[in-house]
Amino acid sequence: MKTRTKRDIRRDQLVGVAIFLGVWEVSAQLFDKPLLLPPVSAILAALWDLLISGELLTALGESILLLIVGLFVATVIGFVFGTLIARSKTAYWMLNPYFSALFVTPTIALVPLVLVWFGFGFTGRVLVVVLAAVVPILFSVASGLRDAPGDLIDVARSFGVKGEIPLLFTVRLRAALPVLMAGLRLAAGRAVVGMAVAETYLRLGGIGGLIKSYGAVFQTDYVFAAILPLSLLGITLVTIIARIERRLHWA
Amino acid sequence: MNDTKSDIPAIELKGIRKTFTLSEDRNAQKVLALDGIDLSIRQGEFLTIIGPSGCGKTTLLRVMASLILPDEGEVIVEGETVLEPGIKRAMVFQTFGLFPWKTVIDNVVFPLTVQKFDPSEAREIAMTHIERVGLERFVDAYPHQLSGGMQQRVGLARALATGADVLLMDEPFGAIDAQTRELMQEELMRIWEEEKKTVVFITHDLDEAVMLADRVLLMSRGPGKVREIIPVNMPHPRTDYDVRAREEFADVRGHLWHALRNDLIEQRAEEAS
Repeated sequence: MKTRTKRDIRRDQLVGVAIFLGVWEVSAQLFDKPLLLPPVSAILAALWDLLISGELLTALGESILLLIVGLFVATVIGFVFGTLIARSKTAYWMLNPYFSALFVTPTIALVPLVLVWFGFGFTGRVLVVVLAAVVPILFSVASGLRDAPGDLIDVARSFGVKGEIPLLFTVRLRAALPVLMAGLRLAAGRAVVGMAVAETYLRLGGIGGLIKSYGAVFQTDYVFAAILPLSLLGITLVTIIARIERRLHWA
Repeated sequence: MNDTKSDIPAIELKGIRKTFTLSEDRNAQKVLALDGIDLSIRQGEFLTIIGPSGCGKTTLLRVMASLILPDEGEVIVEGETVLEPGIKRAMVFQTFGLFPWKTVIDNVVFPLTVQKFDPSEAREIAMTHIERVGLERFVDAYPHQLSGGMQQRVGLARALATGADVLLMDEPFGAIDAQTRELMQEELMRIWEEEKKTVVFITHDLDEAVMLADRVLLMSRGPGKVREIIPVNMPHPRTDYDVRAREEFADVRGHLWHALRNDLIEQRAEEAS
C-alpha cells in the first residue's frame, strides 16, 4: 500500500464530506420534515442569512471575547494554584479534593449558583467558562511541576540560579511547558462547552444564545447554521494551541 | 603575589559530615554519607575520586559544589568559606545536564546569562569553547540530536565557558560508550594540560582514575571516609604516550584494585549474613 500524502488525505476527507452532505440532502428532501432534519441547502441558506444580517458576526464576537477572557482568567488561576499544590504538600492535601470535585462536576450544575452570586452579566458568564476550564490547566501545571527533572534544577543552581522563584521560571515551568500546553488544549475544549452553557443558561447571548433562541421557535435550519460556527470556533482554538504545543516540544 | 596565591588550596574541606534521612517519615532511618572528611586540593591539581558504589563520592562532590550543605564542617574555596554555589566552581554532570529545550549554543551561554554577561560577549565566549570541543557545526542543534559523547562535550564547553578555576566532574564519562570515552579522556587531558585548571573528577573506572590523576583519592564504603590518597607520578603531557603501558600505572592500579576488592568482598559478606 502506498503511503498517503497530505493531499491524498485531503482528497479522502473532501470525498467523505461530499457523500455525507449528499446523502443528508437527498434523505432530508425525501423525508420532508424540516423541523426534524432540514436539508443542507436550507441550512446553508440560513447560514447565509445569519451572515448578511450581521447576527452571526455579532454573536461570534461576543462568544470569542467571552472565551478568551475566560481562558485567560482560568490560566492565571490554574498557574497560581497548580504551582501551589505542586510545591506544597499541605496545599495539595487541603485543596486537591475540591479541584477534583470541580473537575467531575458538570459546569451546568453550577450555573444556578453563579447566577445568584454573580448575576447574569459578563462576570457571571466569564466565571462559568473559568469553572469549566480551570481544572485541566491547574492539574497539568501541578503534574508538570512535580515531574521537573531534579538534575536540571542542580544544573541551574550550580551555575548560579538562586531562589525558588527564579528556578521556577528558568527550569521548572519551562520543563513543564509541553505538559502545560496539553492541559491548555484540553481546557480550551472545555471552555467552549462552558461558553455555550453560559450563553444558553445564564443569559442568551453569543453563539449559544443564537442556537437557543432559534431552537425555541423550532427553526431547526437556523439552529444547525449556528452550531456550525460554534464547532469551527472550538476546532480553531484547539488547533492553534496544538500548533504552539508542537513548536515548544524539543524531541 | 602569584606564588602566594597558588599556595592557597583550590578547595579545602574541613571535617565534613553529612547525614541523609531516607524518607520524609519522622522516624526514618538515617544514613551517614560522609564521616569527617578532611581534604586539601592544590590549585591546578587533577584529583580523581574512586570508591565502591554508595561510598558517598557523589555526595562529596555535591558538597564541594555547595549544592548541598554539610551538617558539620567547612568548604573553603581559594581561602574563602562558601555556603552556596559560586562562579569559581563549575560542574559537569554524569547525565550531561543539558536543557533539552535549548540549543547547544544557548546551553553554553546559560551560565553566562545567569552571571549577567552582555549577550553578544556571552555568545562569543560560548563559541570559543564550543570550537574547542569541536562542535562548531552543531551550535544550533538540540541535545537530543547529539550522541552522548557530543552532549558531554557541550557539558564540558559550558563548564569551561564559565571561566571557573575549578571543574567538578561527576562521573562525566560514565554514560558514554567505551571508545568515545577514551577520546574524551584524551581531550580532557589536553584541555587540562593547556589550562591548568583544578579538576575534581569522580569515577568508578580504575583505569580512568589512574590515567588522569595527579592524585587518586580512594573512599571507603559505608560511612564515607577517605581511605587513602595515592599520588600518580607519570609525566605530562600524558597524551604523548601510552599511559597504560607504564609501570607506575600498573602499580597504582594494582594497589587500588586490591583495596577496592577487599571492600567489595567485605560488603558481600555483610550482605549475606
